[in-house]
Amino acid sequence: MKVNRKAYVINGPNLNLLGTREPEIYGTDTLEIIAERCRDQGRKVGLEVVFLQSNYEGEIVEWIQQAIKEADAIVINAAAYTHTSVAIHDALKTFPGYKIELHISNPHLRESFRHVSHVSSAVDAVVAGLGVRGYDLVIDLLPEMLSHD
Amino acid sequence: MSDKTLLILNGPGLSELAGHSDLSTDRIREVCTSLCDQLGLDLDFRQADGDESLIRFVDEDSKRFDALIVNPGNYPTDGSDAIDLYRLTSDIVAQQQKPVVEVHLANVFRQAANVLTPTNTPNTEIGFVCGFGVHGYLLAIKAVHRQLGEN
Repeated sequence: MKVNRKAYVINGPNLNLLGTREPEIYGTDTLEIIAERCRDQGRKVGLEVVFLQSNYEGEIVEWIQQAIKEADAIVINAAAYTHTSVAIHDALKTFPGYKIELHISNPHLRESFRHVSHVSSAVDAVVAGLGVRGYDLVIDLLPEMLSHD
Repeated sequence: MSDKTLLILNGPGLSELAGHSDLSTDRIREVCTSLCDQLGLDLDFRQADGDESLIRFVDEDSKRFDALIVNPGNYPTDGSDAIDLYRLTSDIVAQQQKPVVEVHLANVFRQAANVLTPTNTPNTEIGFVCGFGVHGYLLAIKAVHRQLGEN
């Protein structure tokens, strides 16, 4: 067992625009503010947080593969790739640690093309619609979930 | 001391517990009560005994609460119409601009494909948490507490 536990928080396409893109849905906090909040919360609960964002599907797949070697947990907001990417589903299936799917809004309350998630069935748990609060709330909870593994 | 009340509403039987041998409704009530005490939230933890109590809640009681956490149990998968009542309950509270979170103990997406399509609630947001076991309730309580503090 690793002494310092590590979580990858992986964010998908367009999340780099947080704070400016449709703030009525996604809020006014930027991704950097959320990242800082996650790292702070991680320090409080003894978890190293590696916070990542990419607009490229393949890069996200590679980060998940890297997490297999380096991380105890993955929190993934695959954004639009949630609804399209079998590659991300397959990569997540190979990750043996604890996996959480996260969405800022609740995709089930939005357009019907967002109702199918290829991520949900490949993870342990799902959080949606809690706003940007969802991020640091799951970081807060992760050590507890990892202690059950 | 506390001026906010949270209702936690559980579906009849909370039959998901079948897969969680270390859990009971009493245990869930206990951990939820303990966290709410810590956060200064008044908690009304209810086990709905049937459709009638739900309808009564929708008609009369929803204005008494500042936030709702609802666990529909196995309704999403058993084909019962009662799931619509749960969703209606959630919608009514959400439309009052109050925080609502739906909680499932298990990852329901692993049990059945495409089981969750909440009714539409324009301009409101309903939170959704599944797969964390009893910790999902704690996550939902913390989210609701923070949201109440921001409003």
